[in-house]
Amino acid sequence: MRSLLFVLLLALLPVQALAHAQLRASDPSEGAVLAVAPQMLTLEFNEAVSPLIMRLIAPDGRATDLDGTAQNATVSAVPPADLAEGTWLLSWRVVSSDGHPVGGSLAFHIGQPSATPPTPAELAAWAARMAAALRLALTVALVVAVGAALHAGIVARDAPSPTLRRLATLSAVVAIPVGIALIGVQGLDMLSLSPLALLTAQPWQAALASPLAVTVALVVVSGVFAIAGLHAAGQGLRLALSLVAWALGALSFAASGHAAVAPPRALTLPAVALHAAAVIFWMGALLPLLSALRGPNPALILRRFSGLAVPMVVVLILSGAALTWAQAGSLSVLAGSAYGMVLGAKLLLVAALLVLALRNRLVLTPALASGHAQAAPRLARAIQAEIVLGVVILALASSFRLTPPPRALIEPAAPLYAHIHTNRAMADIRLTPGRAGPVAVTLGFQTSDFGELVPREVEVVFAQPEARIEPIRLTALQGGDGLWHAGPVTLPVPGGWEVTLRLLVTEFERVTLTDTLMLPD
Amino acid sequence: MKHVLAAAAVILPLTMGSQALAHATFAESEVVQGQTARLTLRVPHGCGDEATLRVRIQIPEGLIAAQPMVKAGWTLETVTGPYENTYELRGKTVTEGVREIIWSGELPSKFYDEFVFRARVTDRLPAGEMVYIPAIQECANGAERWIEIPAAGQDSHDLQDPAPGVMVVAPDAHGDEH
Repeated sequence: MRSLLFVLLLALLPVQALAHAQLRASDPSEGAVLAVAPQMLTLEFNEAVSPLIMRLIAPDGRATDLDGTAQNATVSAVPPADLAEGTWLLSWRVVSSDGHPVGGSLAFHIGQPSATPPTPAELAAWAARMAAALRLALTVALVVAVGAALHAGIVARDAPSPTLRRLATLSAVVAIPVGIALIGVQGLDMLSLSPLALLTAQPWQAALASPLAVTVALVVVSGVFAIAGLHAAGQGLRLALSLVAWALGALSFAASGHAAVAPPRALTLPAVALHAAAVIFWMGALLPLLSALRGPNPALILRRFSGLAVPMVVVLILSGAALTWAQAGSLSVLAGSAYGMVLGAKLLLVAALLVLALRNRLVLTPALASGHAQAAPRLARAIQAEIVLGVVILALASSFRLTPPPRALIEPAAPLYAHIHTNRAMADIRLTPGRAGPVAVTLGFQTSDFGELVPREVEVVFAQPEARIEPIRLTALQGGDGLWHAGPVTLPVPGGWEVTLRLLVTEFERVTLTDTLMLPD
Repeated sequence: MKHVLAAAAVILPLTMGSQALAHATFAESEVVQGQTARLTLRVPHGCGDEATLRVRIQIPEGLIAAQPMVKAGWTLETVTGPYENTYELRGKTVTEGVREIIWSGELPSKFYDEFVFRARVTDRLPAGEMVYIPAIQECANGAERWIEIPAAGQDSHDLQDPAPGVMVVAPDAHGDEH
């Protein structure tokens, strides 16, 4: 309990990186290649420390927290017996007697370095699939609840039927536990922990710090507004509440996810929100329309729906196209990638959905208006088909996060480039290969006005604060080619890595350059 | 118990709002514009556990006529060079002076020592702002460089190796103008 409290406390504090307790030596040493698994992992500091976290990350990405014991300036931990061959990473964090927590990572290899060292494997894949399923459930719940409120507010302009109201309210309520579960599973995925870890604070605290928590919060609040709108007495109030629910629901999609963070964000953020708004309107209207077909005046409601649906479809297609362009850049990149296949399947289904919708609008709606007897049942069947297609499309959209191309197919991964430009200096960074695993770091420097810049020393620091991986520090050395080289260093997980370059420009002047690199899986 | 201690150890420095004890700092907290200031650099440890063999400080623009205090067991060197601006000192125009002070000797990592110099604080250094004086400890196989100066809006505590600094105050604000 006390340690739980402590972990929470630690999470509230900004990560301080002060140069006090310093790692002097370790056994095994950094980058050591061992013939047999070590019996003991030892870290030797320059002063007495207490261990906080000793996390051992396996070649397959599984993480185990070891119990560290401290004796004076030495911290040791006993690893599990029979460590598998490959690259292991010990992520450690200690607090020294002056109170500054410091941390670092130690990579060592048993047998030989893994070709594809520590990355989240089976366990994380399970958590990722679970998270995708929960994300789908959350999206469906949101669409049903807000869609019903929106339909009542702007299409039917009347109170919804009691059945529909009960269903939509239930959806909004169910979204709350689903959202909480999603946050927990997201935490497991981020830290690659086992489901039992849900009983600890760790995954929750990691996921609560991630943008997904904002999404879940927006969904829940949006659901509350939807419930209020569904139960509102007057049309004015109903309209206002449902519009707020709609806006919040649409924004919830923009708060997290790959698409919302793809550059240029000024384009992708509004595009995601508009795309989501159109989806909520269209998909969310299907159940109410089905219900309206049995109501007193289906023709009027269908006409109003169609009038709004056409601009929504235009918004949907334009925003979808913009996002695809921002995410992939070109068709040739998409072709063959798993992401591209999922996207292709999604587009095919959307096309089918559009054909159905077009038939509804051009054939069945006029038939219904002219009082054709068969029109209502046909329309009902068409809408049911649209619902099925819609759920499949949302499922595909939720599974985008599962679509890193199979590792074996990356042959070899393209280098990852980044450029940092400040008024003091510019740096070009190249990571080869540009994916999680062992990477070589190549650096080139210029002054901010493209002049020659030869630093005296260069330190490279990689950190992934959200995954609680402690900073990995390495020294770059100048090669004969005029570039600076560091590594290979093992970046164990994909995602946003914060890279900091510390250049000693003169004896007395240090320039620090920072950027965040998105490391693909 | 260990966790409680560790937690207390984490909280304490925050509540005290103190300077990190581990960094090289000045004993003085402020200097007065237009006066000669005595500054004492405190060196709490070596490079890791290596002994400090040289201590170097760089005199920033605006501090002039710097003089190190002699120190038993240490040899002293100064590096002179031109100032970026010209200054008036006791009726004379000054364009150059000491830009760097170097103490050479040996300070084992587990011991503490202080390095003293004085310098004239000109009004080129704005009152109400910190002046940072970068310092380097050189050891046999490495160096500790206390040279990072916070950018605008940045907190010195967020830096890994902050340069030691003192606050510049106006003479009247200080209250003991001579």
